[in-house]
Amino acid sequence: MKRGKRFLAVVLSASMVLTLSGCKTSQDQDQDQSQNQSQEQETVGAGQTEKDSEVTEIAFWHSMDTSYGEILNNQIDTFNNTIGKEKHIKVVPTFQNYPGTDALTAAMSSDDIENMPDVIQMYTESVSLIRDYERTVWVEDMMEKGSSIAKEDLIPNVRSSFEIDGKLIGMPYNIACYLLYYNQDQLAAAGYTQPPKTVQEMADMLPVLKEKTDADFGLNVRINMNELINFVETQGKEGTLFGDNNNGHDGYMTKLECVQNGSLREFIDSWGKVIDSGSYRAVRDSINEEFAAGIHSMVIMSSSRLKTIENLVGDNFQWGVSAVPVVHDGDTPSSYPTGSGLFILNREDEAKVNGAWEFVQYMASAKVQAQWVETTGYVPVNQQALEHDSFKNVVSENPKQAVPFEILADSPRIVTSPFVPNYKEIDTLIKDTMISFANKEIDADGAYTAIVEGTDKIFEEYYRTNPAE
Amino acid sequence: MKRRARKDALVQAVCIVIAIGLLFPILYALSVSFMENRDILSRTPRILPSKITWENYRTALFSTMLPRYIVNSFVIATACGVSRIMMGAMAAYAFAFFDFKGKAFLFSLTLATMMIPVDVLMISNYTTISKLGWMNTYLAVCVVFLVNGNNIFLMRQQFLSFTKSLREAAYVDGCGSVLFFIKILMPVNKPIMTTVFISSFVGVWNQYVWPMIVTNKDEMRTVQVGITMLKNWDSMVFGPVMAGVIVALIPTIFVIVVFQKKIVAGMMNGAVKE
Repeated sequence: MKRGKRFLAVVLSASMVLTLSGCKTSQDQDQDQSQNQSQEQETVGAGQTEKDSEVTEIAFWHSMDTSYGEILNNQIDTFNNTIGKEKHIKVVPTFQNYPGTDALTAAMSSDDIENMPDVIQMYTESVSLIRDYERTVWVEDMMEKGSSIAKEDLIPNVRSSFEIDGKLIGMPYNIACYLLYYNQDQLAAAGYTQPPKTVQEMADMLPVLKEKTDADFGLNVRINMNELINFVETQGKEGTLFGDNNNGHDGYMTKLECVQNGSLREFIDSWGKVIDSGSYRAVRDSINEEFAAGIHSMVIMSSSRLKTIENLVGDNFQWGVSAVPVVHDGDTPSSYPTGSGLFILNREDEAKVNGAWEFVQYMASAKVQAQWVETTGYVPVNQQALEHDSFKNVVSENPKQAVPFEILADSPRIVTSPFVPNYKEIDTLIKDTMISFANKEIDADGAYTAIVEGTDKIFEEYYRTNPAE
Repeated sequence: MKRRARKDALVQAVCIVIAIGLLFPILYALSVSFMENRDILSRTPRILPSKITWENYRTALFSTMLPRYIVNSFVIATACGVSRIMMGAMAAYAFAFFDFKGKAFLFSLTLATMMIPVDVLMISNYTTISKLGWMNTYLAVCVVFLVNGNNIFLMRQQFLSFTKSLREAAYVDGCGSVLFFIKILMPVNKPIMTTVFISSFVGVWNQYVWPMIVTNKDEMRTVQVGITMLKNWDSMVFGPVMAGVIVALIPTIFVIVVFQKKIVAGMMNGAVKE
């Protein structure tokens, strides 16, 4: 009997926990609703002046973690305490893990505007998700209504990376470029005063670096889709396209343009020399830490890691950064912009759209963008930031911080971030193929064929289920 | 005798080596969680920290809302575990002991739920939850995990092995269906209940995508989402991540250690007639 009572008690407690956990929040919601209703009633009663002072809450979803998250939260706090206070706008950030689109996809599928953000930070590879979405508010349209930022203020190839048919869909926010990080001491020990300018030069240097320094490898880089894009697009004086339809910026990207224009083949053939050097590591573990420990003489990675590397290396050795070596002599040393932008969604509330636009303009302003160089390796997308004291001070103290900006500013306009519709599959295909190539499981012909045929198949499958309009 | 002792010692030694091998990733994670950054990154890998630091735990616990996320996960995993036992046992009781129209069809339907991938249902479940206005509540996270076809099947198979004559004897003694279920069937089947609870707790504790999409307020997130906030987009911050993982492991280990005894105790019940 006693046991039966105990069991019943457990069952009832569990039911209560379950009910309360749901009900508690329902009660909260009810309270919120009644509070909102009473607030609304009060506002109506108090007339227009008080209605104007209502705070518009902007839901902002982002994927900035750890130290980047702290920087972002500081930017938001500053906005809320300045422009936000003045214009009665409050931005509420919510972290969504990279790529940050899982919850958005769910909300879009059910047109759940209640649980959608007003502003979302999205990486260029995810733009395909919202390019045809009816609730997407194009930044170009907002700019036409009035803007504190001119299109011309944005770095040309960064701007092109966020344009579709010449119209800005989102506002670039945290943008980086690809860099070659090199251990200056090890290069000097091997007899080099300058980092390599071309892939051929780099391939020649690698065995010497391994032989004459205590580095285990001359170079570490894993060729994923992004790295491949960079090597392909930086070919030629004016750059080369990776995908058709202007990298997916004029219509949809349906195939690899780099197959037609031969730049993919050129890269794979030249990369074979790097592989043959015997001093190249094709997989990536803790690339930052390994470079800082002197294991690799050179690494290729995003400029966003500049501060991380600076902190890790400390005074252990001299190091520098330069443009990633190009495939041919005479190619323009440049980089395509990687990173994310801010995109506005219309939740059927004009006040929120306008508030979101205020916030987006603030985040792309010269002042906020100039702050990136103080604590990260991101590039100020707003060229007006160059005139800002914080940018000038940082660059004069640490010239390395100016390199990413200079590279992007000098990059040809067509060297853009391609809108690859199904980037995850293509990224995996390229990564696996290039590792097999580096391990000499396949030769250059095999690697080329695998990428060409593999991407054709992936595109075909994608457009069969998502027909291009 | 000596030979047998030597054989036993050898078996024990092999078992210990295997156990250490299996436990090594967790033990190493524990060690890394106490290491300073320079120990973690030293060119010669270190197994043990040269100096113990609590900094990683401070970062894990205070740079995100990890304690709150642990509470959220604990409430959700416990509620789902209890619910799965209750619902699963009642359904299994009906499938194992009663004959009614459509029983085979309903049981097939239950089995069919095991064959549908969770991902396929995610959007439709999200739509339902959102239309019910349950977003950002514990209920939204729990509701899809409250019943599990696998658990019903497991318990039904266990109940089928229960001798029907005992149930008939209970009926003769005036014990009805409900009392039989509560006072006889459930206590005797403690091991299976415990197994269901542990597997459910661990399964729900480790959920990531569903809690992520039905919550868009930071304070409603679960521990798995919290751990991803500790890692850096550009570099792996091993110390705080490992500290977060260890903290997140504690409740799971606690549940397993506490309830494991119940499994063993249940198995031993009636094993020896004294």
